[in-house]
Amino acid sequence: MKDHSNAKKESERSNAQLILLSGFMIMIGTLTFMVLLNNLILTANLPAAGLDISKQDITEFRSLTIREVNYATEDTLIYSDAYDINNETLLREYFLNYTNDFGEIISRVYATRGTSAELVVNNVTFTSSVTNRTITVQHFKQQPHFFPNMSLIIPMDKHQNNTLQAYRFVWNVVDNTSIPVFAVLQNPVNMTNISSDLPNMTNISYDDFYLNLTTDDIARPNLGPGNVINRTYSGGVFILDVKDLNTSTNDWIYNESQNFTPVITIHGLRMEGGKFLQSTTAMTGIPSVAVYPDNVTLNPIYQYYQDMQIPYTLLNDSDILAGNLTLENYSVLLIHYNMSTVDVNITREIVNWTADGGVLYAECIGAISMDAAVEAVDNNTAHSWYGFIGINETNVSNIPASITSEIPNGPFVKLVNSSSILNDAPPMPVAGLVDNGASFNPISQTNNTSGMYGPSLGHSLTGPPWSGVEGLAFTLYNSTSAVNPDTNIIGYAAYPNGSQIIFDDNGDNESEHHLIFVEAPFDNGRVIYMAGRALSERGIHAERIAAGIFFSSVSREELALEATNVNVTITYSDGRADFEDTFLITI
Amino acid sequence: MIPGVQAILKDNTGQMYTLEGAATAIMIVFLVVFIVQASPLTPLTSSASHQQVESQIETSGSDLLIVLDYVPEGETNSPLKKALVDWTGVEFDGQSSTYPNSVYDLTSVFNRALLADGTAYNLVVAYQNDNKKWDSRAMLWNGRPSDNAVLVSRKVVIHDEDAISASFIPDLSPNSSFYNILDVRLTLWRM
Repeated sequence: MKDHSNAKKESERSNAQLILLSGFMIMIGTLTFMVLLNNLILTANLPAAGLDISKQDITEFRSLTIREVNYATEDTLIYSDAYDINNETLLREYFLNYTNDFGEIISRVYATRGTSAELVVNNVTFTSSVTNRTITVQHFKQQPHFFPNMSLIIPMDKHQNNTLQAYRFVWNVVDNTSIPVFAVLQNPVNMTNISSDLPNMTNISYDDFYLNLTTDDIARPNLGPGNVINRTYSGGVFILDVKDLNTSTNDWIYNESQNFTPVITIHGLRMEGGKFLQSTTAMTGIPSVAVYPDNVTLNPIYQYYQDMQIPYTLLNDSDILAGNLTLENYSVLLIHYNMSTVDVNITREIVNWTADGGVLYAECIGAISMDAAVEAVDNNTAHSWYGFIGINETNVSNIPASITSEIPNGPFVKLVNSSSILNDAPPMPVAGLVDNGASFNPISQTNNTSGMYGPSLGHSLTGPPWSGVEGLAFTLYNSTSAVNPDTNIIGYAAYPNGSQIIFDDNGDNESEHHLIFVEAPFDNGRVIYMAGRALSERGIHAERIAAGIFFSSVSREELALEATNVNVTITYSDGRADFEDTFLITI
Repeated sequence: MIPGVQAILKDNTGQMYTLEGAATAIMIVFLVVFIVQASPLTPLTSSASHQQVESQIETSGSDLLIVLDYVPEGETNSPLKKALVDWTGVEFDGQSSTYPNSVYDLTSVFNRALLADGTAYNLVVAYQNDNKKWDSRAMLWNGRPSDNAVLVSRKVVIHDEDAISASFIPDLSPNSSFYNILDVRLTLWRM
């Protein structure tokens, strides 16, 4: 009985111990389960393993897409300075090339981490409209540009065999291929022949005048390497961006260069890293040039275009009075004529066309007489100054004999680096004129290291030198309110040593600066005056001005052809998150 | 039933000993695991206590890249992109002097933001080559990362106009001004 009782107690003790152990095991199990659950929740909430990474990726993908679509749209505007249906096609192709290439590469970036990311451009709306740029100091679009290796160089200095007709070549390239031709804007004012009384002009950088490039004198790689050396270029070298070229256009350009006599020199850029240039402007369309009047015996301007083989249209009085002088028909008008004899209605047409956005170039007596003619029809309060610019046409006749005997053939044109050097009044009436001078200006590019254009040599044969009516120089009105405040002085009248011709020619006991080459904006247009008989007589450096004006005209119009609404879909899948979004990017 | 068999069936002592043994083993295993996970065996060994730290430095690194990729008012490029554009491909090891200025400025920001806090970093630039395969080069290298290192990245788009100095990075879009995409990979770890 006792044994039975002990055995029963022993059994009860064992059962209790078993229950305790079981409870303990259940507790451990519960604890383990809770720890595991807690870890699971913690892990899921850690950025490294949770959805935060996906969210960041999707956000970055979306913002990059929006940014690059905007970038592609902005970039296409470079090609849209002149309206052309071919340009519109190019723009579309360019935009899609850009977005497709971006989409392909960004997909591969994500694919490296096992993520699928796709960009699809569903629909693009292009909106086009032609607008005039707001004219401020300069009349052309100056922009930095990167030129990759193998771009084509068209020299405009000693390296070029056919400098004047190179303009026709550039014209043909733009006209036939719609490929923009870039002009490198350089500073044509060099350090030589600087007058000691203009010390500010000595601070001209060598690198602004010369552009150092490693080039091949054989531009076509399939013709084999030619002489690949470092060359210096000056005088506003032209460049064709290799990205705009293909085999077909390369062939066309080469063949076209061979059609000229002598052939147009083209070099090839051979710099592996390419070349980034700060100041360029692109000729993206060809200007329509008009010349007035049509009497070629009175108008030597035809000579420039004959030399350059640039097409132009002669306008007579009837053409202008009939309303043919419109921006749709002509973007550049050149005048070599005494405007004081012109019908006031013709002057009015010219003033209106210029104010709308035309680029007017007047030379010789045309430059001297133009402002008086303009004043007769444009005396509104919007233009408080005299005429287009404020030329004092009465101040050109009282030339001291000492000066005419020193320079019987008339003055040289000395380019100035900055208008501001002439701001010390008196004698210049307007302090604070706009400040670019001839530097980085497309209409004054020359490789002449003296920074000077020769005198109008033919003038001395036609009569007494420095006769006022021949308009060999002019002065500005000696009154701030009478001068266009945005006038830019590009060149003054100079002695052969480069020093400026200054004298009192109106008896007010103040010496006037005598100028030859000035420009100024007039509403949406631009006016350029060049005193002296003919650019041809000053040499090809001066004659190039007539072609350089192209850039002022073709950069005036801006074709606002842009992708205004871009509908895209982005899809993203990384195993943690699947995301798809279709949205509209409004530019 | 045979009395001996009945006694054996009623005797649960063996079962109890087994459970005791199992419970003890589980407790020992849990204790060891807990100790190992709770504190790193070496400073560079990954452990449970590092998870929050890793999370923190990952957030810091990601934020740092975002801030460095911000384009300030009036500027064309962000400090990060400036450095990438100017970088010629040279690997800067340790705390050697970096150049040009934009890379130096970038390095200074990393050093101030990370090293001062005891966080080491490597900056590697990955890009696609002409064969559209991935290549990468270290820009800033501070040694082999530890087990608990984290990686954050930022994608920077390069355009033709940027005129990138590293000529080994090719233009993958000759027909547009799009050039390439750089995957900037920042590896971070606690020292």
